[in-house]
Amino acid sequence: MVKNLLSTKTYIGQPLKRVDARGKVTGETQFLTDISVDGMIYSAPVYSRIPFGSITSIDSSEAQQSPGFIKFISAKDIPGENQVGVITNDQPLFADKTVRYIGDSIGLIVADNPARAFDIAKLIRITYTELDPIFTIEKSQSVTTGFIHENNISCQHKVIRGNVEDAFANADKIVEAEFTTAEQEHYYLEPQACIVTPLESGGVKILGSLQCPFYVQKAVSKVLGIPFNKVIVEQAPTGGAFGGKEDVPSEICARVALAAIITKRPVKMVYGREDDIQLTSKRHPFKLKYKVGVTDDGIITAAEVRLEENSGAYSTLSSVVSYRSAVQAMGPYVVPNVNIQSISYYTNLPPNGAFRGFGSPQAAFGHERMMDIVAEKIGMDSYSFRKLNIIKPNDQTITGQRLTSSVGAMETLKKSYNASNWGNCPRPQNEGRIKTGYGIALTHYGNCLGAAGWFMDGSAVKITLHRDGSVTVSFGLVEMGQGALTVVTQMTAEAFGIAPSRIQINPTSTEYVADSGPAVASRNVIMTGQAIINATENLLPEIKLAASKFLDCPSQNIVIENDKVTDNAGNTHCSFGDLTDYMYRSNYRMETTGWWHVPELNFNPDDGNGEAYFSYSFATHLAKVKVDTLTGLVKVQKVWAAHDVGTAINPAGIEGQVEGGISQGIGWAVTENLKYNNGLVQSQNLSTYLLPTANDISDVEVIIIEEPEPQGPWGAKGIGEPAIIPTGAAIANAVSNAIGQQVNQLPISPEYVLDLINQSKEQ
Amino acid sequence: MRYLRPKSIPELQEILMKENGNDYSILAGGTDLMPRYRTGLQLPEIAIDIKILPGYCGISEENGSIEIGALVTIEDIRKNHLIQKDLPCLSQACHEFAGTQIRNRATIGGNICNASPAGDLLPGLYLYSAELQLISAFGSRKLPIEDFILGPGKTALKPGEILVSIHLKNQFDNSRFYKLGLRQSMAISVINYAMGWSVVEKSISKLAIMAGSVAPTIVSLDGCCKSFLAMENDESIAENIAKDIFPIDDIRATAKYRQQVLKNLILHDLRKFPG
Ligand SMILES: Cc1cc2nc3c(=O)[nH]c(=O)nc-3n(C[C@H](O)[C@H](O)[C@H](O)COP(=O)(O)OP(=O)(O)OC[C@H]3O[C@@H](n4cnc5c(N)ncnc54)[C@H](O)[C@@H]3O)c2cc1C
Repeated sequence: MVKNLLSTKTYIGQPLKRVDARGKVTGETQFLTDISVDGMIYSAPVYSRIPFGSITSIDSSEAQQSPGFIKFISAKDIPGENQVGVITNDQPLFADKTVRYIGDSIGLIVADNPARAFDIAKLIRITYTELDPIFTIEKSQSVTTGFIHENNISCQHKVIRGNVEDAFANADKIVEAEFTTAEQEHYYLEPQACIVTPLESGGVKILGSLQCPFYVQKAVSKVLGIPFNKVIVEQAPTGGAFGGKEDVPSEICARVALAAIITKRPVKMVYGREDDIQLTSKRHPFKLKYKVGVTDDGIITAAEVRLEENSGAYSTLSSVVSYRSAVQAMGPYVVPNVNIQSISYYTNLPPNGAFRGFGSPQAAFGHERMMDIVAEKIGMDSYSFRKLNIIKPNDQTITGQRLTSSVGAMETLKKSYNASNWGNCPRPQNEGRIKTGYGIALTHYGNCLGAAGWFMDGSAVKITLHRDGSVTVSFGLVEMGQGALTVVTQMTAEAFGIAPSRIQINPTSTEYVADSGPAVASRNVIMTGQAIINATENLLPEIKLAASKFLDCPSQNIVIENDKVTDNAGNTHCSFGDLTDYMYRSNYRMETTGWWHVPELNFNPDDGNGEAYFSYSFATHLAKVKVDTLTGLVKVQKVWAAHDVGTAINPAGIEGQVEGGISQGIGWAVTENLKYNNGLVQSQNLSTYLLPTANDISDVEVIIIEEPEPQGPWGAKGIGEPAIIPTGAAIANAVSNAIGQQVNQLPISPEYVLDLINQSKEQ
Repeated sequence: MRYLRPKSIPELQEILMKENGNDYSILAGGTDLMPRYRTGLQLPEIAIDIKILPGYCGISEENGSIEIGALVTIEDIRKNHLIQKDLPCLSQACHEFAGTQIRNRATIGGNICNASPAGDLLPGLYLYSAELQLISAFGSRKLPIEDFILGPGKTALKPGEILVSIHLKNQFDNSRFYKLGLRQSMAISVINYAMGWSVVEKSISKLAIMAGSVAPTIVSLDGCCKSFLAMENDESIAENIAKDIFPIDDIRATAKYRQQVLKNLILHDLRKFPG
């Protein structure tokens, strides 16, 4: 059945217009700030103003005197567990003893209007015994007392395979280098927000700007001490997330849910930008140490890699970041001997957590800078050196996983290289003020949650046929700007053979489908697509049976395609609406559910060997930059981006993801620069946190490569994260190429570039 | 907060008289004022919105001198042909100023009275010897811009006084503006400068450079210009630039970077001159 279902391709591969475009363009879409509920009151966070210390007293008397004050809620009001750690139980909902970063939550003020809530929150007087704060990885490693938690290691992962010592001993050359990367703020346009309404059942209904409704359900249930089925979580239209709304909404919704239960009224909370940026997660800064052994003819034989991550005050999703960066630490290249360690350290900064790529952009910066440095050392060009070592079908990854199909790495490398024409460009003269450079970077991104998250890597859909031929789909992942609604529409249309216009997608709610895991890890197309196929398979025999009755022919003659139900042998046909009307009148089943979980993965966490992910997306970004040698300013002119997506469900959507990913990558690599002073964010808003503008982003040429993935729906793989992963590394390689100095850090600030240029003058 | 919007100068003067000594702010485009209100730093009791005052939103020329009303927006200056022709530093500065929305609101008067060391119009205004026309209920006076701007956010504006127009004269045959921001648009200057020069018989006869963001107020790089005109070498020109400026570290850049970039850019410009 699957084969039959997969062989047709009418709606898949079409650049269907986004189904949510109109509302978002006209402003008709209601985001949380636009939404209110009868009797609604407002809350604001009360949080630590010191980076590290213990609370000695909390005094709310002044706040209680303020007009508009309704309630102050803190740790002692929690009926269930005071715990919201998503993987490790290290994060209280409200700190009652220790505060670990400026922004660590201590309580919540509920008031009659939002401005007052935020003003009153500042009147809660908290005294502390301050402890010596830790902001850097170095200090976190070196202290012997005053740990942030039991100790300062938040998590660690490793991959050990072959014998690196022997391989280094036999290598013709050994090349070492160290790199650093900085934080990145998600800067979703819509800040964190939710409305929680208490229900008669004793439960709550949560409407939130979020990525993972089932995470929220679990967190709220734990904090309130009520069963999951009393916690209804619905995703509101969400103005961007990028990982920043993976785990963070769990704590925010849990606090507001507690306020709703206690006050017995609907409670709303919307963060202001400055609070949002101070309180919530960022991309992990990394320190990366590489040692690579290579033969004189350019074959990589060994790699020793140490990745160190600044995890901030709580581990949140550090474990996923550390796992991913470890198994992807050498990129899509064959390296038979590896010793890879990835360790995350607690510091007194806001927690660093989920962010598009989960450590992959950082790892890509390491392995791709390293590829260029090694190539230069052995006198090869960066393209040929990569071609020589790139992973091909039936090769093994560094974890020893043999990849048999859908391995488009080489294609992405060749196609982007050829499109850029770099090979045929005479070497840029680079004598004058402005220097031009090119840089290549690759990634192999493991789709879905991988071995570390295998137990929760299943997703559901529910599809309802209405008698008029319209169809409602519920899915468990979310639309957060990436175009999920459109591809879910296309895949449902394809599976049933009906027009996309018949299909309406429900907002995602814990009420409609079973826990489908988080909307992360570029997994929506694969998971929801496969679940749609499964749901269709469950109902199609019944639909065909009904059609055969209705059209009076054998059921194997029935073909549903192009929105038409046809008797293949005879000449009769009917519309899908006629058929569903008949089905309804004849008591046929009108609803189906689908489920898919990723294939079982054989992986040993002790040595990091085995199947890390069941499928990989491949990409090459080739960046062309111009560097102003007088000012150090870098302008990314163009990026040729070749992506092996398996099968393109919606090529326009892929282009959008890639252009957006590259723009965000340019921000991370070039313009954005998050600055702290003793744990307090200095670049609090867009005047100093410099997101790239339309003038700062580059031209992008998207090259779609289709190496179908047998385990993907219609052969598709993920694109959301691969879109950003190689960008920063490609830019760094291009800048290094332009100025003839190794760029070893992100961001590539003009100041840093100028320093490098001065160094080369001194040489 | 009370919001007042006088429709005429007499009405404004009456308000200014009455509110003399009270906590008020003049509000023009509001693009400096509103972000400050938002952070709750400087919420005055009274906002006096001067945007609809008649007579101060035009650009005109008389006897070789150009007058710009204090309420003229950055966008209007950018598009004005007279300015493009006679005061190129101003139109270039407006071209690189913020983005369209801000340019449509922000006024030249606000840029001057805000007295930011990074204000993009200021180097050009210094170069073109701007004279500022100030009025109050008690009369009017004219001040050269360098006597008006006293420090970051500090001006010689007296209580009850407002800026109504700016008078400019370009004494140079050529002039240009340069801005370095950390993004291609919507960026506050890390450094900026306006340079004016005249050429007689293929050699530079007159040179002035006004640099912003490298000191509490705009500085005239006199030492550097003298050094160049005396045909000294690059090192001594660079030394003189260093002596003229007093940059600081801030969130956008370090003093060291500002110093170096200004030196790089100016030496680069000067090398292109004949002689
Ligand atoms: C997003 C953004 C980007 C920006 N980009 C730039 C940029 O690229 N370059 C740059 O230089 N600036 C920039 N600015 C700053 C600002 O836009 C300018 O300084 C602008 O010229 C201020 O003019 P305004 O009319 O909006 O002033 P307002 O905010 O109305 O007033 C500014 C100050 O001047 C006083 N004032 C205004 N007019 C008068 C008057 N006629 N008489 C007496 N006092 C007066 C006010 O009381 C206030 O103290 C930016 C601001 C924002 C928000």
